[in-house]
Amino acid sequence: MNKHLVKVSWVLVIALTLVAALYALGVLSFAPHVTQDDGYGNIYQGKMAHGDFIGAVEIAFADGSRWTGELKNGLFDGQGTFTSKDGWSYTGEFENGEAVDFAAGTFSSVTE
Amino acid sequence: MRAYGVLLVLVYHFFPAVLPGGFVGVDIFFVVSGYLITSLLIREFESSGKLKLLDFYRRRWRRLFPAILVMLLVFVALSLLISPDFRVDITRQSAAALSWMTNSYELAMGQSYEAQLLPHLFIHTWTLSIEMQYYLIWGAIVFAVLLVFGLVGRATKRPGGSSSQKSSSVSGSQKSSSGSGSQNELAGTSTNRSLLLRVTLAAIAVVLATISVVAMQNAAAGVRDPSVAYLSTLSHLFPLMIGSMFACFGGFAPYKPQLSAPVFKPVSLVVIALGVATLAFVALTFSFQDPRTYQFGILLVSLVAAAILYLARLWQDLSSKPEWRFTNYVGLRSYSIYLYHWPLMIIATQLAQQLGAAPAVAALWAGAFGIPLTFLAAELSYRWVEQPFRVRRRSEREDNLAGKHGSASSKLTGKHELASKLQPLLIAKISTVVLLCILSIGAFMSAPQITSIEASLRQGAQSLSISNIENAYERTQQEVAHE
Repeated sequence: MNKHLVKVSWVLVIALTLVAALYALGVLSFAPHVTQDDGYGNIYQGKMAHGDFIGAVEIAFADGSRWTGELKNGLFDGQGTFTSKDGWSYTGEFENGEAVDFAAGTFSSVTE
Repeated sequence: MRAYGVLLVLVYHFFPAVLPGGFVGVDIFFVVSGYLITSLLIREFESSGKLKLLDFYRRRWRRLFPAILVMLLVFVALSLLISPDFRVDITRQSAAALSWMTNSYELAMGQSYEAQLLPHLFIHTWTLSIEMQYYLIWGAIVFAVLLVFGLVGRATKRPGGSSSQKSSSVSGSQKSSSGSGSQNELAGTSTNRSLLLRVTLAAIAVVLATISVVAMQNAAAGVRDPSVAYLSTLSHLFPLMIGSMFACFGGFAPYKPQLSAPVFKPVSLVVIALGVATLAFVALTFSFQDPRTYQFGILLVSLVAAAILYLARLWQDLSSKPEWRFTNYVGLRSYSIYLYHWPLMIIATQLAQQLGAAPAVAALWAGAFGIPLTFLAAELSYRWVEQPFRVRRRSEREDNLAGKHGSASSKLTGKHELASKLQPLLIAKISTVVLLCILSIGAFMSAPQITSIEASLRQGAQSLSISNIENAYERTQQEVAHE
């Protein structure tokens, strides 16, 4: 085989191995926008890498309610908007699944 | 030794209650690798006067990579038969295995080596990752030692043996000498260089092994799960280093005649018997969670395995008796046996459970079917993946030689005949690989992002979040109504 071709092949092998190693260790991550059904009828949309959503996620829950914001250990966290199945919505700061100060958030009543 | 190592691991994984400390088989493997690799490096220097580091790396990669790639394709495809939970993060697991980073990946994931609800299909490739990392580090160290002492490119000669290919590159003063005096001088210089390399490497191996032993003891001290101590390259480097150290004192020609001393055989037999008894004791009585394993267990196994290996190699030099056929067979296929046994065990266990078997019964089924299938898969991998790469390398070398001495036409005729014979087999192999690639892509594409357990936990957490915000809303509405 051509010596140059062999050398190029080995360089390619080394480069691919490095990319694979960085990907495996989480240094290099591809974060495609995914739409995912979690098996309970809840539909998730957001950027996902290594099994976790990165940044804000949109969830359409099976009961009709919605969440747009971040998650931490599956709980609502950070700035986000919750829209209930009855139509009212609340935008505010969340921590560990609870509104930090409900009165400080923006509340919108039912819109028919 | 490779055969005993892989058999211990095999029994430990399929029947952990029978051999709770069988995982030390991996350390026997490491010792053998350290010994053989260092022997090869030293031999290359002693016979040619130089070390082609990149060629060494290429050879190691070609020895390990093809078989692991095929194994991954097979089991990523077969993972379609079992719960999708086993395909979670399978892309990263595969990338880690192919880039020799499984141990670092498992550490980054915080995965426990032994107590896993959903064991990773390729977690067993952590040993290959450490081996390849060792090849990279140790090869570079040997090369650096040769450079530092100015030994690279200089002539060397096996004492008592034939002069090396590079003997013409010795210094002018040596060339100008003549007669047996100069030959003795040359042999003496070469012996000194060889001894210098061996002693330096042994000293470095001892230092690195000591650091590694201390790292393992520190990492395992006072923790419930010793996975970090077990999976880290630093803390698990010492078996390889112990093998390397023993190799520095093996096969050194000036000391070979002393082995014929009448006391050698009985003493070595006693040492080997005691060593085997020690290995059996550790494999039967130690366990992964046992603190003694990390305090001295793995160290003891490594030292004993290295001593047995060292003595066995000396015996091999003295005796013309062939190795026992069974151990020879298993030893040759040990790499493939190791590669295939773990994912086969998981898939066999899962399939048995899917067919309704209770976990204990499923484990028995896995043993009954998994072990024979492991040997079958290893045989196929050895014949069709490992051997062709070795044979090709050998035939390339032979072709090069034939090109120098033989006629080109006879070579071409031979190749055509061989090609026509191999065509159906080649087509079958290519078809199998294409099919495996298609199925593997399907498995990668359909892999869930999280396990069903994680989905359930996330569902619970979000129900709690919704419940909290709805309660807050209710309270506010009630307060407004009161006002």
